[in-house]
Amino acid sequence: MSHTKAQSSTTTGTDRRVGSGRLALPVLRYAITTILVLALATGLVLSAGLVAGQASGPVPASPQVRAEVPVSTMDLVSRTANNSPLLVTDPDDSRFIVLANRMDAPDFGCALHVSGDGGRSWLTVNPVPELPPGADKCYAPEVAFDADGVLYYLFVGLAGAGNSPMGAFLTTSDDRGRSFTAPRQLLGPERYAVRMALDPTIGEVGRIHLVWLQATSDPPLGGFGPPPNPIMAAHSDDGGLTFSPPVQVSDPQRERVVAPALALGPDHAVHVLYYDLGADRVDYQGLEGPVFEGTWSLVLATSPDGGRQFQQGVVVEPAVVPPERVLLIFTMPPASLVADARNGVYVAWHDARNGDWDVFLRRSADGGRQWDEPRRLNDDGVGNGRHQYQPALSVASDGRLDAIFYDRRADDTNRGNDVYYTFSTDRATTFATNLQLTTQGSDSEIGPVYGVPSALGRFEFGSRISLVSQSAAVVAAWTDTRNTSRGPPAQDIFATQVDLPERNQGPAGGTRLGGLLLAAASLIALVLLRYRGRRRRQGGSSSSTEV
Amino acid sequence: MGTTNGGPKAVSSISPRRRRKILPRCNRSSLVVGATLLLLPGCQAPGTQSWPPERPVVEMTMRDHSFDYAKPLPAGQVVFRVTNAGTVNHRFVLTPLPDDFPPIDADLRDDVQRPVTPLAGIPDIAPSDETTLAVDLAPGRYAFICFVLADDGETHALKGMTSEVRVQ
Repeated sequence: MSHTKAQSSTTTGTDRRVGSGRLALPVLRYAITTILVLALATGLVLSAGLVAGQASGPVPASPQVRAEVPVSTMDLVSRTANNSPLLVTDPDDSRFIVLANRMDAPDFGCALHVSGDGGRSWLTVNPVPELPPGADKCYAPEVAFDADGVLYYLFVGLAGAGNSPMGAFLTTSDDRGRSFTAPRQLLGPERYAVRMALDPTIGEVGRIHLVWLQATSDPPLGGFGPPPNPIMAAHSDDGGLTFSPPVQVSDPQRERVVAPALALGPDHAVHVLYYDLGADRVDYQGLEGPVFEGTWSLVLATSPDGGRQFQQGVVVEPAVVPPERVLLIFTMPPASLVADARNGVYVAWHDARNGDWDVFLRRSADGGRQWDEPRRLNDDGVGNGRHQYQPALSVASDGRLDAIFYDRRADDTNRGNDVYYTFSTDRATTFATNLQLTTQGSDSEIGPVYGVPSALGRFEFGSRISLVSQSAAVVAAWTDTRNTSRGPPAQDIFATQVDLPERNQGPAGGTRLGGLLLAAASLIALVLLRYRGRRRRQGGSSSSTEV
Repeated sequence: MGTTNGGPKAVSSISPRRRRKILPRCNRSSLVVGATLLLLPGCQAPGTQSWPPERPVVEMTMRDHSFDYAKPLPAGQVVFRVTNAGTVNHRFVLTPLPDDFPPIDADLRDDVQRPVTPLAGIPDIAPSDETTLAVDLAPGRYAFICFVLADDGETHALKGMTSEVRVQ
């Protein structure tokens, strides 16, 4: 006690506290120091760009294309044809990306590959080690993630010599593709072109949306039976255990609707885009005949209530000039459809209005009701006889719109495919100069052939390519035959990453600057705190016991 | 904070040297906390950091007339990055060989060759160019063979551009 009294006589007014009060100031100093150190650490983390999803290394001044990497493994023994990739990113970790693809040779199949480093390296996994009863093959996979990072893998089961779709099945993985649940049937037979999307904001596990083309009669060889064969939709809020009653998406008066595409918009909007072939009976039924001389249209149906009901379709593009005969109507490539967070909707397709094939885009700023005039995305010469086709769109979190497409501008024979990329940071008002992603072209006449009238003498090259948009990068994937010579119809999937310049990185650049400022302010405050503490001790303060 | 004889020590009775030790201890604690936070972004949930594993990458250099790469090859999914460091075009087929298959060099020089089915391959690539492919290798015996026909009418394989390797 005498010790305490002695101290009181020599301390400043601030410290005229006895007992536990003497510890208050040291404790406060300790707390402030800890907070400042935490702030310094946070600032350093942010400024170093260690937040997931940001590009590592120096920020490029212009888009930088990394070397392509093989995704699928080559197999000339079985002559495997991998095509039609679909990329999806884990919403919890942008470095984890999955790619699902179709296999068309030696027989129909489905595949899955996973990447833990943003698409720089891949591992092939087996999502369907055992087919469900009644299914001879799996086909046409779709993938999605829910809010918890559970991977959803949907496939169509094919059966019999005619490869009839006997159902659509779902398997899931909660360990990034190391293991999968037993497939569960979601849809019955005669469902074609099944698409899946997942809205993670509804319910505990998110809402699964399915869209498909429902054949109302057993299709003949290579084509659909008499209409109607409508496009339908259903959704599930319990992970696929139960589904809502199917509702019709396509307008009843449109008889020949095919190739749906599915995208989710803000406020639980569901958009479905499809082709209306109009009077084109030849392609619809897979008959022999020349290219349709009329036009198709692209129609968008929207549900504003999370998929319960769909409004009457809006014609997005009334004059799609058919580029060629549809190879196989069941797997006709859909147009590409995406929606951004500000109610923007974008559609891309290819057609032959300029003679050769070009890629076009239309945008809507009001959720799909009104549409701008089409703009050509490929920037090579108009009518130069070189095809661009099968575009894929994606939207980054900051609204940047990315697009890739097959491009033959470098091949005089108009047969060799490269992949080109472009992007827009002003909601499709302007686009960047096309950028070549591939260092080696692919012969588009290497692939499976079908013995149906519509496909005679032609090669299957897949029905889609794919990309995912991140804040500082884009990952793209496509069908590739660079390592295959004519003979075996082997096809591979290749992918690459494009690192984007700082002005296109949106919030990531601002985050870095904010982190730097936070770190600097914290460091200055720490230094001042220590300086003041030292001065106070020199003045005889007892508050320096901070242990 | 030490105590002596049952009571807290006054600061004034703490030696300057001990005072310097006391103060840094506080800051060291804070720094430990801060350092832990710095490391946190690099940490991932248990079990996820090792999955998926990266495919091993085999760097292969094709020369006139040989294949240079590290042996043996690992089994499983492997990526080959192939560079042509030669002066002419080269290609290869990668062929599984049964264990009773004669040495590939001998088989190619024989009057009758045993049939083989390539697992993978690359087309002609020009000098200084490169390519890449992925293959799923089962354990066993394999051969890389370049069948480019040289100007003298002999294939590169007969000039020695073959390489047997065991995958294990």
